[in-house]
Amino acid sequence: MLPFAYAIRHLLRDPVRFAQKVAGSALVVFLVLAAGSFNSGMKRVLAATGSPLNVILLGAGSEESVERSEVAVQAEVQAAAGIRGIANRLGQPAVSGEVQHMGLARLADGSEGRAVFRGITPAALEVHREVRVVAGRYPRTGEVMVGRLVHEALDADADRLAVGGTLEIEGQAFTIAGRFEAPGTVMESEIWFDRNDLMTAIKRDKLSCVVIRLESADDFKNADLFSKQRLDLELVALRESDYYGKLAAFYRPLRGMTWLTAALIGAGAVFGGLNILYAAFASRIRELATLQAIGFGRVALLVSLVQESLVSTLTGTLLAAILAILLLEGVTIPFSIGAFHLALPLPVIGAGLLTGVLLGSLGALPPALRCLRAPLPSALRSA
Amino acid sequence: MKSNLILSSAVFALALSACGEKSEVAAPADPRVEAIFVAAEPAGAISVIEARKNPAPGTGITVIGRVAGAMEPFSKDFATLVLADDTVMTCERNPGDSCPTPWDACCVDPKVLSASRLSVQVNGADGRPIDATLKGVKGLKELDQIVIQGKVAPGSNAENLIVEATGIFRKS
Repeated sequence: MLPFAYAIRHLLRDPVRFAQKVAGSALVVFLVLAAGSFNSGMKRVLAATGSPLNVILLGAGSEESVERSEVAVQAEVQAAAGIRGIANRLGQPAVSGEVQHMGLARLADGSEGRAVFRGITPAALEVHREVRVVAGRYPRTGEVMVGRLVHEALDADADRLAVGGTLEIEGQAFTIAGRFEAPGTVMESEIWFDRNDLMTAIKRDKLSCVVIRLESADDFKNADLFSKQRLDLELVALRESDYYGKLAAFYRPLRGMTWLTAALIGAGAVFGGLNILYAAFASRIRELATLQAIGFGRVALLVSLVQESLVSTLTGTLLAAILAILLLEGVTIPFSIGAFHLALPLPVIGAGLLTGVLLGSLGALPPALRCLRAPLPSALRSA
Repeated sequence: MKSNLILSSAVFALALSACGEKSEVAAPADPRVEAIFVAAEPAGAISVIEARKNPAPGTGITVIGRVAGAMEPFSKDFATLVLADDTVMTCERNPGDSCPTPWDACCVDPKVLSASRLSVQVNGADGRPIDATLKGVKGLKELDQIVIQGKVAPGSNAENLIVEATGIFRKS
């Protein structure tokens, strides 16, 4: 076997070519990390929003979209009375009739943005227990409470949505009374209203849904039974986790597009890298033939060439990982129903590392084999 | 040699059978639910629309209709079903309609559909629906025409009629 130092010396002999190889592999790995973090971030936020203990009662036929759903206001009370296994605190059942609406919010400086509005009663905090008011207080009439990330959805500075500020919605001014967080969920990008205020503002007389928190996930069957017994209410019971699971499936083509884009740009970089490797190895045919002549086998030379390639692609992988941490991690991406953070969980980092290893090993094989395949006499005479 | 041939044939036949359409293995029916099915058609059945006109909780009722009127007319966990009036134009009655769930009557005006269906439940000794599905029991499935004998459940009204079944006859 050739010493590892031989491969390293060769890499440093031509710094420009080495830099090209590193940059090419860094680009491919960075794209893999970017696409992976986008996908996992979106999936994670939708999965975290749906609690397995929560059931959503939606209007029959509107299972795909809570905003289109219409549920009679009395369904909230009837569900509380008719469903067994509802969680309760101090005798209050965790049943929250809610209105959801996607609308335009105008900030004090006149800029506008779209966000999800949710009309709630205090019971919402019983069913969405991940919600914490972190500044100000729960909103009263004429007031709203904004999610920690709503400024991303509105494309505005966070300080413009501070407690005490105002928002104009449907021609009415609302004071921001509070700010809340609900880590890792789409609710952090929403604006929460007093339910009656929102229903009046958007001229709606029905709820969008009734959210129920159960004592146990097994009690879902009782909510399903209620929806089948109360045919007059025209309800469908869905686990909240299933609802957001369907939303995640709805966004699958979008996530697929990120992979496709990464693959297309990455393919260009891969072919560019192959070209560099072909040129680099071809210029060393005579040197490699000499090494064969003095007794080094083809396998040993192949291993050395792959080592050389791996060092450059893994350097690129390291560079890509550093760039991803600096440029991607923690970045907030808004999408139609909320916002999510880009993150680099272990599987995504693993995919990036695997890409770097495959680029270095499999990518080096075709040019290396071509270079070593030449008959020794002609290789020794080559220029 | 001969035994090897027989074994090979058996394995091949098994492999071929595995390639075919997978059939859903039905769970054995709950005897409490099975017992509710009757062999003879109860007499004097009225339509679902007729039954909804003036339901008096606690009174006896015999009603005929079809298992339809909802995307999932059977509960998976309880012995309940949705019974739609025979006149409801479920999708398979529209020529050329290839709706995969014709029993949901998605083409029917929701208001008309709401007025043409009722809920049926088979209660256990505790007065609550038995925790076993009716689907598949004695071959019962969506769009089947059935006759329900029972009584009007407490709390029922013209808007929402629930029948506590004491007998189910599968007509077709």
